[in-house]
This record gives sequence, structure tokens and C-alpha cells, in this order.
Amino acid sequence: MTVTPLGIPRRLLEFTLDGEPVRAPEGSTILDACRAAGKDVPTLCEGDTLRPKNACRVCVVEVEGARTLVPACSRKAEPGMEVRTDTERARHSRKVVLELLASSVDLSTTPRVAEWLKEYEAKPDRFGPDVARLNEEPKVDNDLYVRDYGKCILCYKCVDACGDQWQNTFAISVAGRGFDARIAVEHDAPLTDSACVYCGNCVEVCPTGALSFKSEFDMRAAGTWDESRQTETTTVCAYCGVGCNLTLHVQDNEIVKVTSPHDNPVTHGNLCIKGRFGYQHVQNRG
Amino acid sequence: MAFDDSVPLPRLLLRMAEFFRDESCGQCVPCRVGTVRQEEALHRIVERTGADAAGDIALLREVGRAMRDASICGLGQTAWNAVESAIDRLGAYE
Repeated sequence: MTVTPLGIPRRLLEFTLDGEPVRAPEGSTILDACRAAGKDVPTLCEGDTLRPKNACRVCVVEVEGARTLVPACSRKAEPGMEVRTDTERARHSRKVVLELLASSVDLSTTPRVAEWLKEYEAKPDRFGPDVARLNEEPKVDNDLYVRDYGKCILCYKCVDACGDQWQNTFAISVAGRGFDARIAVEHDAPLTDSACVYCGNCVEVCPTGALSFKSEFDMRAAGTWDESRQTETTTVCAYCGVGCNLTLHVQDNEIVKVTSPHDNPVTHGNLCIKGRFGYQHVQNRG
Repeated sequence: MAFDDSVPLPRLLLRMAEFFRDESCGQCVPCRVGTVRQEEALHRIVERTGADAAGDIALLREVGRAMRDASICGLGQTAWNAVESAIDRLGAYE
């Protein structure tokens, strides 16, 4: 049973969402209200276990009286606010942001992005064939996970998960600025020479597949990765007494990836190196 | 700064676009990638006018509008101001 803490009762505030009056608990974001109302606002850098960074700007909506568009993921709903999620202006910015990303980053493993590119009629090719791209080679410097920064949209989620929001290891940060900004460990060293503790909590929150299990990376390279053939089984980690929930992703009777449910009150999606990567003994059939 | 009409506007705009690309911190997408795409388009049309530049000017307008509307801070929001006013008020690329 998952125990959901109810917290203290929150006052409901009223505002207008796409012309309809809505009520949302005090402190909720515009995105929370949109989701409660069944509206599909695209998001990339927003994470259900992290504080919003509002860096990707793909969730922008129009608020009456605001000079610019506002990010739905981090803007709190206020009483009397008039929010419109689907105006030409908001759609234009989403389209261009998707085009800018798709023209500079490999989004081939980003869930839902193909659908959004179609929905917003984005044409990333229109910037021309010789435009600047990230073009980073995948960093394969350890046996557990791969950092393929050619797929990184700089959402900061891995940095936040590694830093003060969850792991408090602070192994990674943004290095450089502007288009040359990249996620890196101190002195851009290999991961094995860094403060990384291999909890894989950065992999858990990565929205693009830039960070992935080595097993997933190798299977994708070999063309054998097939999510439709995978089952997900949630169980309890057998290592220590904390009782973290593990979700084992299994393909052809082999564990290929381990995640943790984000709504689990023990883990909030986070694990340690043993729970995340120490599953080989389960498959030791010798 | 004051310039007389002997100054080639496209080169001036390119210099400004270079500045904004350089100064972008890289936190938000519209500014981080938008300033790069703006500079690339201005490079393509630096020696072009009229119909030859029209396609890239339309592209600049679209990217500029998204940078103004969706960037986090004033740098991205104003990165296209000089280009826009040079096109609309001074008739650059005509």
C-alpha cells in the first residue's frame, strides 16, 4: 500500500483557465491546475520529484497582463488570474523551442517529443543543414551508466537530483556557458575520478535518455532494446532494511534496467548503487 | 553610439548577434539556442538583400518572437530588438 500524506488542508483559490473557472489548492502551479483539468501541456525540464527549474520553456502559457509568457511548471496559480494555454502566441513559442531543441540535440530517445513536434507543426530542418549542434560523443567510462551529452537539453534535473534536492553528492554541475554549456563532473574528469556514488538518481530523472543504464545503451546500439517486450515488476530491495521499492524492467528474462516508483514514500524515485545497479546476482544461474 | 549611413548595417547586426550569443548564460532554451540560430541566419544574409534575404528574415522574426516571449531574463528577451528595428525602421536588407 502506498501511503499518501494528506498534509494540512489547503484553501482553494479560483482563477480562469482557458475561459473556464477552475479551483486549485493554494500553492499549486498553473501546470498542476492544467493537469487537474485534463489539459495536456508539454513539459521537459519539469520533474515530479524535483522543484521546477523552468529552463526548457516548453510549457509556457499566456497570463493576462503579463509582459511575457510564463512557465506553467513554476508559476503559482493566483486568485483571479486569467490563463490561456492554447493561444497562437503560446503555441508559437512552444513550436520554436521544440525546433531549437530538435535542431541542436538528438531527441531520438526523448519520450513524446515526436508527437509534440507533429502537434505544433515544428520543422527543425528549416534552420538549414549546417547549423550548430551539440555533437558530443557518448561518455562510456564506467560499467554502470552512460552519459550521452549529444542528447542533453540542459534541463538541470540530474544536477538537482545529485545536489541538494536529493542525493547531496554534488558530483555534477553545469560547466561553461551559452551554447557551450555542458553537464560535467569536476575538472571534466571521467566519472570514475569524480565524487559520483553511482546511485543513478540522475538517470532516473533524465527526460531525454542522455543518461542511461549501460545495459540499455548497449542494447540500443545492438538494436535489441525493445520496450514493448519488457515487463515491469515492482518489488522490495533485498539489500538493507530500509525497504526501497525497485521496479525491475525485464526483457527476455534478463533485468535490463532498475527504476523506483516516484510516488513511493520511501524512495521518491531514488535508490543507492546496490538497489539501482546491483542486480547481477539475481541472474546468476551458474 | 551614432553611425552615419556609410556603416553597413548587416555587419553591425552580426556583431550584436555575436555579442548576445556570447553573453547568453545557457540556462533557457530560447536564448541558448535562439541567439545561435539568429547569428547563423544573419551570417547567411550578410551580403544579401530583398527576396534573397526574405526567407531568413521571416525565420529571424519567428525566432526573435519566441526569444522575446519565452526567455527567462532580459538578455534573451531583447536579443532580437536591434535586428528587428534595423529591419523595420532602417530598412536593412532592402
